[in-house]
This record gives sequence, structure tokens and C-alpha cells, in this order.
Amino acid sequence: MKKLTATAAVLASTLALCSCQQGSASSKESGNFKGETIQLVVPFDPGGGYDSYARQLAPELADALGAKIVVINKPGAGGLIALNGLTSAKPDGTTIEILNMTGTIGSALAEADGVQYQPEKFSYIGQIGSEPDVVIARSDGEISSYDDLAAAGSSSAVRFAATGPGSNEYVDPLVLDEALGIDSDVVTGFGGSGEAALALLQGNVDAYSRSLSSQLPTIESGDAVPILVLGSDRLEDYPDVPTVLEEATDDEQKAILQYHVDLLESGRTIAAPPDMDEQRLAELRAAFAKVVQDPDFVAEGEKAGRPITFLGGEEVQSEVADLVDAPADYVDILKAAYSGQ
Amino acid sequence: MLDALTGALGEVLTPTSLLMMVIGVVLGFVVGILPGLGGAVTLALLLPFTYSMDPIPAFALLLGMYVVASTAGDITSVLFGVPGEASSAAVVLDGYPMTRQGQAGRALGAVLTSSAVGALVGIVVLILAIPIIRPVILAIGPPEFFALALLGLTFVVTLSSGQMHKGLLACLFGVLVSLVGLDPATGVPRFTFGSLDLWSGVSIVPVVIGLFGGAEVLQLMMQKGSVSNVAASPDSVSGVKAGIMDTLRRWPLAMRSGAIGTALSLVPGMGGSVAQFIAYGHAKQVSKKPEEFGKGSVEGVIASGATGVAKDCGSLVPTIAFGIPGSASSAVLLSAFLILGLNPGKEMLTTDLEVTMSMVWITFFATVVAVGAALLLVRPLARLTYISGPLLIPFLILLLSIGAYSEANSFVDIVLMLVFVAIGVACIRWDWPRVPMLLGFVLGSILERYLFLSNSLFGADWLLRPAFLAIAACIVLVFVSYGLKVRRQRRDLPTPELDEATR
Amino acid sequence: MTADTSSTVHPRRPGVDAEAVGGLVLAVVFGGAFWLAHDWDHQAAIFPLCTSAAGFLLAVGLVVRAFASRRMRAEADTPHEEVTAEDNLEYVFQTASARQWVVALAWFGGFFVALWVLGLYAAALVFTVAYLRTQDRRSWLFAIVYALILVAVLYGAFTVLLAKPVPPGYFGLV
Repeated sequence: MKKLTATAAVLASTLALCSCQQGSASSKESGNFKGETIQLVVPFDPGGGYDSYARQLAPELADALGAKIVVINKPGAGGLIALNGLTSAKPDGTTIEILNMTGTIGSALAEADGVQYQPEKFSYIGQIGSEPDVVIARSDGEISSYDDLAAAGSSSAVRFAATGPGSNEYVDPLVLDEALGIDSDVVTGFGGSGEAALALLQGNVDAYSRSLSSQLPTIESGDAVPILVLGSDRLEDYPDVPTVLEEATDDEQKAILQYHVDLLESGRTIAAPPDMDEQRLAELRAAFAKVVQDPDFVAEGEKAGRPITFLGGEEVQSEVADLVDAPADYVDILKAAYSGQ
Repeated sequence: MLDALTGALGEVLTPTSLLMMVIGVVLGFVVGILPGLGGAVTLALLLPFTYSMDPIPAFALLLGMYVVASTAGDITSVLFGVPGEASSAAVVLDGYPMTRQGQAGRALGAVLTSSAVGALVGIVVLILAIPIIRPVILAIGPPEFFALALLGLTFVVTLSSGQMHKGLLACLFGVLVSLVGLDPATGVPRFTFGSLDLWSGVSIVPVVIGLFGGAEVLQLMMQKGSVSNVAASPDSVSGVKAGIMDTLRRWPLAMRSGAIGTALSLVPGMGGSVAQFIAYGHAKQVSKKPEEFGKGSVEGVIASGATGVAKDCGSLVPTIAFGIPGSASSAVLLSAFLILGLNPGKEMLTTDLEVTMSMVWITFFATVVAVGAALLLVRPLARLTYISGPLLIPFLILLLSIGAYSEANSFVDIVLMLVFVAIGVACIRWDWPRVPMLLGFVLGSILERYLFLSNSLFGADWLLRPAFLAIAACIVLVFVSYGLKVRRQRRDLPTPELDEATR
Repeated sequence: MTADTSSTVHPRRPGVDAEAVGGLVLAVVFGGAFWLAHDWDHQAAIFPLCTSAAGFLLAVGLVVRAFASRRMRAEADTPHEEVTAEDNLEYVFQTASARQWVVALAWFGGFFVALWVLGLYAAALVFTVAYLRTQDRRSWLFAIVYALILVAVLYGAFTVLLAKPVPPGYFGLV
């Protein structure tokens, strides 16, 4: 029976492919957004994590607002084009964007070329996801635990894979180097994160660090093991893997690592242009809070391997205000990371 | 293994799965024919519908859509010279000239059939490779990719059609264009002229649409005839059968091209748009009538068409075997795996083998259904090319703009497309070869990336890796065979041109 | 390869001067690229430098060869290069008059200007009606109905069915 209904649902909905995206205008709410079209910009290519979060959110948020939401991919310059675009978009909430906070704040702090926005100026609607980065290594390699990594890193350089300078994949090893003295050599130039992960399995590099949900398929396939969590808590499924914060021995190290973890965990947020109309922003925040805290929504995200973590717009706003005030040592690391050293 | 294969067949032949597959095929058709609308976006759109489904019907929907889009993209390439998918670009090279000669039916028949043959090869490779696939993938790395890219570049010699000097120049220009954007290794912006829009580089879609489609539209505007230069006759429209026979008669070519498509996409790295050009170059290299290439050679159509579905099969392999997606589309498929509760990796090749095998069957059936349906549609489609030119112009010019715009939703891509229209027109006007430029463009950045990766990963040791040496030997062979061919020709027909060259 | 049989092929062959000009343009392009690349970071620069240097040398070589063969051709009017007379594809670019070029380029360019200003659908409407009226001498009725159908199909496919953004105009029209 379940199968049949599912089939019917797919049949009906695919024939009018994704008209679901537009939400039904039948919503009873009589808000400001009723009947309007909102563009939800994804600063990356379709098919990736940000795209999936946005596409999961769009129909629900549209329903809650009584608006139509269209997901638009605007890849380019690692997301900078879309970020700069958001700065100059009309501040009425008809253009909103899903942001990679680590990259958004990181590029601004590093004063990278092309940054024309200030992260603290955006009007945050809320956080939809937050997850730690995880360092993985080959399961049958010489390094298969944090202790191995620390030992290897104290005598010679550990090779990390990265797609390019400025990415988390690149910044993480530099932070580990600076704070925990794990000497690292970051190999860049992989065409994509798939290639970088494969280089790890091939034994061409020793370790690879990126977000947990991206690492999971490789970990669950049994080819790689997590060895270090760049987050505040240990992983539920891998409780033996230490976090970076546990490994810090002095306060100076701890400060840098804590900041890095905070930055990573600022996660994925939805933001509107700076200087938003107060009332409309409040309405967006309320609708977002309602949708993202809905248990069904959370369950759906969980199932798709995209854990949902909610944080309200005001909290994100103040968190970002804190984060842009980074320790000077950390800014130096970022600058090195963005310039490719 | 045979059990899994037959078991999977039973699973695929259930009403639910078949229904899902038909929906997928229909969607794939629409998506494939419309330029700019890639398989990856559509997969992402479809993903939410699979939440409540069982794995096999879900894959029937997703994979059915995905593989058919590759086939359907060829149709637009043949009919209008505008590739429906980035991976259908090489079909334009000979498919569209055939249409201009009033052989749209034959070209479509040939390309669809070869797509099916290619799919078969891909499927067979997929099945046979399962026991050995993991070690194979683990053995192929940046040095091998570098060598493969180099091997691909040697086809410049053939693709320049006797204009070596100009061909090499065009190729180097293509390489230069491929370097535009942030350097992946150092993050330095190169040839971006201060524009952020160029940071992510020039993508293949505006280049191909401009270089080929745009130039053809402009030509149609000046000439005002129909797309086909030859008046309609029942014979020319219904050449479908002839096209099918063309492919079947040249089955070794179709199979080799299919194998190239699958092999090059087995390991993430080369990307889907490379295989078609390599297959095309190889077809010209071994052809008895290389002079027909680019002017409506059915062999060119067959070779590039065969890589379509074949490369999709290939890119499934690393996704299944390691949970590592080789392309944007397989990244979406990977999330489908997770949603459906499947663990990519060894399990997919052992305990969940039946699911893997069902994917094989889905690819097979979807291709067969799609090619069959498309062949029935060929006649009305081919008639489109006899419509008066001015009536088609507004439609074609819209296809150009949507096609260029859609990938990144950026007007900059339309501007880039126009730049390449200008280059394409200049190439035709002053007789410069366009294909070597495209070859340089698709291979240039790959060549650089893997050269530096090989060096930073292995020092100089990579020059001695066996797989690298094997490919390097092939490169030498290509040059030797080319040299012998030239020498033979020179002995047979002493021409003024060659005399001149030797002076 | 074979000897010329008709004199009509002659104007379709690129002249020696066109060859030289093409070579010169490319020499400038490659030279410029080399100059741009010379002060980048070593690793980022090396490949572009090699490519543009090779390109520059080849382009200069082409120019030299073109002049050399011009002198030779002046001496003995021997035809050279592969002649494509047997092409079935009659490329109009070689034979078109200046007027044809201007008209086609104006329409082609005009559409993209309209696209930039008006957005996809409005531009499609205006262009289609204008083009069919003037270039194909269709009736107003035919042109308008055809344009409306075309836009309706596009709108149905891209905006309604696929919810895919299309180029908006300068003023945000769609």
C-alpha cells in the first residue's frame, strides 16, 4: 500500500515536475510574503550539500510564508559572486541565500581578493545545519588513530589532500600544524573532493579533513577511519575518536582551536541582504524557525544524511558579530591559507 | 553473481519499477533535449520523491532519467548544432553537417543506435569489472591521467585535417582558454582580467554552443534557407534505417568508442566531456576516410554518440565501489544511496550485489526504451530541418541563449558564448580548424593539474609507473604510425604542398 | 590534394594575407598571455608561460611562412593547400556580401542587446515579430501568433514546468 501511494505521489508530482517548489498559494497565512516570489540562492553547483539543504527547505518555507520559492544556483569564485550579489540585492527578503559561514567569514578575515561584503552586515534568518570537520585516514594505512597522526606529524610532514587554498580542507591542517604541532604538507590541485578522497584511499596522501557528512560514505564503506574531530563533541557513532579541544595542552593552543571549532560550527545559515526591513525579517525568521524545528523536517534531513541543527536568526547574528573579531594568530593562519602560503 | 543478476532482473521487472523507469525516461528526454538543463539539477529535483520509495524503483526513476538525458542530448546536437548536454558536444561536429546535407534521419538513426551499443559495452564492463574493480581504481592516479591527457592531445595531429600548423595554434589557444580562472593548486587568478565571474573558469557549454551552434545560426540567417540544404524527399527523411545499419555495420568502432567512454570515467578525474573527443579523435585516426570528418562523417557521429551512456555507466563505478562520486550527477546519486539506506563500498559488491545488478538492468532497459522511442520519433524530428530558416531563427537563437545561460544562471556565460561565436565565425571564414581548439580546451587544464599533482605526490618517480609507461608507449606508437602514413602518402602522391613543406 | 578544376574555388580559399593576419592576431594574443603570466607565482605561471611561448613562436612562424609562400606564389602561380571544392557544405561566410554581413550581425547582435535590456521573454517576443515581419515578409498576424506560441512554449517549459531561471532583463523583467 505504501508503495502504491508513493508511486501515485511521484507520478502526480513528477508530471508537473517540481511545481512543488513553488509552494501552494493556498496557505492561510496573511503575511507580507503572500503571493510573492522569493529567490533562494545557492552559491554552489547543483547536487552538493548546500543545494540539497536549500531544496529541502524551499517548499516547506514557501508553504509557511504563502510565497513561491525558486532555488537558483549561482556558482562562481567559490561562492564569492553570490555573496557579493547578496550585499547589493534589494533588502526586502525576496532574495535570500544559503551561506557557508566558515567560507564567508574566513575569506573576509583573510581579506581575500574579491570580497566585497561584510559578514556581520547580512541579516541572518537562522542556521539550518552545523557539523564538525573530521580528519580521516586509510583504514589499513600506517596512520589509523590520532596518536599515530601526532607521532607522524612530530617527526615528518603528514600529507593532507585539498582541492585548493582557502577551503576547509586546506585550513584545517594549517590550524593543526599551528596549534598542535602536527607538521603538515597540504597537496592541492585535486579536481574535486571525490578525487581528493580517492587519493587518500590510494595511499597517495596520509589524511584528509572535511565535513562529517561528506566523509561518512567513505567511512561507512570501511575504507577509511575517522581519527580526529574538529568540533566540540565526540561523534555519537565513533566515541573513541578524540576532539581537537581535548588534545590542546596550553591555553594559547586552546584559544586558536576553540575559535576554529566555533567558526566551523557556525555551519550553514540562511541570510538576507544587509539592512533588511525589520518586519519582513522577523516574519522570515519566524517561518524559518517553525519549518526547521518541525520533527518531520528534521527526520527527513537525518535520513538524507543532512543533519538539521536549528539556531534562531538573532543568535546567529550575535554569533557572527563575535566571530568576525578573531584572534590575530588565527587571522595569520587564514591569510597563509588563502594565499596558498 | 549470476544469481544476483537474475534476481535483480526480477526486481526490476515489477510494475512499480517499470512505471518509475518510464517516468524517468520521459523526464530524461525533456531534460536531454533542452540545452542547458543538466542531468545533475534534475536528479537533485527528483531526489525528494525517492524518500518513501524502495531502492530499486527509486533507482529506476533516477537512473532512467539520468542515462536517457545523455542520449536525448545528442538529438539536439544533430538537429540544430546546439548540444543538448555538455557531453553531446562532439556529436555536433559531424551530426550537424549531416543534417545540413539532408541526412538528419540517418544521423539520428546512427547516433541513437551507437548510444545503445555504447551502453551495452558500459554495462558489460560494469558486470565483468565488479570482482576486480577496486584494485583497478586504486591503481590509477594522477600520472596515468596526465599520460591519458597527453595521448588525447596527440589527436591534434589528426584533427587538424592537414593544417598542422594552424591546428597546433588553435589547440594551444584552447589550452590557454582552459587555464582561465583560479589556479587549483595555488589559488592565483589567471587571465581573469579583474572579473570575479571568470574565477571559476570558462565552462565547456558556452564554448561549444558559441563555436558551433552560434556560428551555424548566423550562417542560417545570412543564407535564409532551411537547416537542410537539400530539399525534402521521402528518402532523405527516412534515412533512419540506413543510419541504424551504418552503426551496426561499424560495430567495432561503436564498441571501441563505448569502451573509451566507460574507461575514462571509471576513475574520477577526466570528467565527462573529455571521453567524447578522445573517441572522436581515435575514430578519425583509424578511419579509412579521415577527410570526411567534420563534413558529415557517419563514423564521427557513431564514435561520439557511443560515449554518451557508456560514460554514465563508468562514473557509477567509483560511486558504488567506494562511495566516491566522479561527477556532480553521481554526487546526487550518492545521496540517493544514503537516503535509501545503502552503504556504498564493498557491500555493494557483495551483500548488496543485487541492487548493483539492478542498476545494470535499469541502465539497459532505460536505454533500450529510450532509443526505441526516439527512433520512432526520428521522422517527425527530422522534418524540422526542412522548415524555412527564418521561421527557425527565433527558436534557435533562444536555444543558444538559454543553453549558455542555464548552467550557472549567469549573463557572463552569454557574453562568453558570443565571444566564441565570433571566434567560430572567424575560423570558418578563414579556414581554421575548430576541433583542435576544443581538444586543447578540454584537455589543457587537466594536463596541467595532473602534471603538478604527479610531481607533488611522487616526485620524479611517477615517470616509472607501469601504467604510465604503457600509455606513454601508445603515444609513441601514434606518432610512429602517423609518420609512416605521411611517408606513404608522400611516396604515392607528391603534391606541391608537401614539396613546399620539405624545402 | 588534387589539382584545381574550377576557378570558382579560388575566392573561397583563405588568402595568404588572411593567413598572415590570423598569425599576427594570435601572436598578439599569445604574447599578451605571456606578459600577463610572467609575474604570477612560480607554480601558477610555468604552464601558461610554456603554452603562450610555444603559441607565440608558432604564430610568428605562420606569419613568416605566409609571406614566404606569397613570394613563391608570385613567382609561380601554383595552387597550394588542400582545396575543399567538393565540400557539400556551402559555407556562406566566404561568399556573403558586406550587406548580408551587416544585416545578419545587426539582427544577431540586436537580439542579445534586447535580451540584456528586456529579459528573455520580452526580447523573444519583440525579436520574433520584428524578424518575421522584415526578414521573412510574414503578415503581422502570423508573426504575432508565432511569437506568442513560441514564448508560451518556452514559458511553459522553463518557468512553469522546470522552475528554471531564465535571463532577466536589465530592469529585472523576465
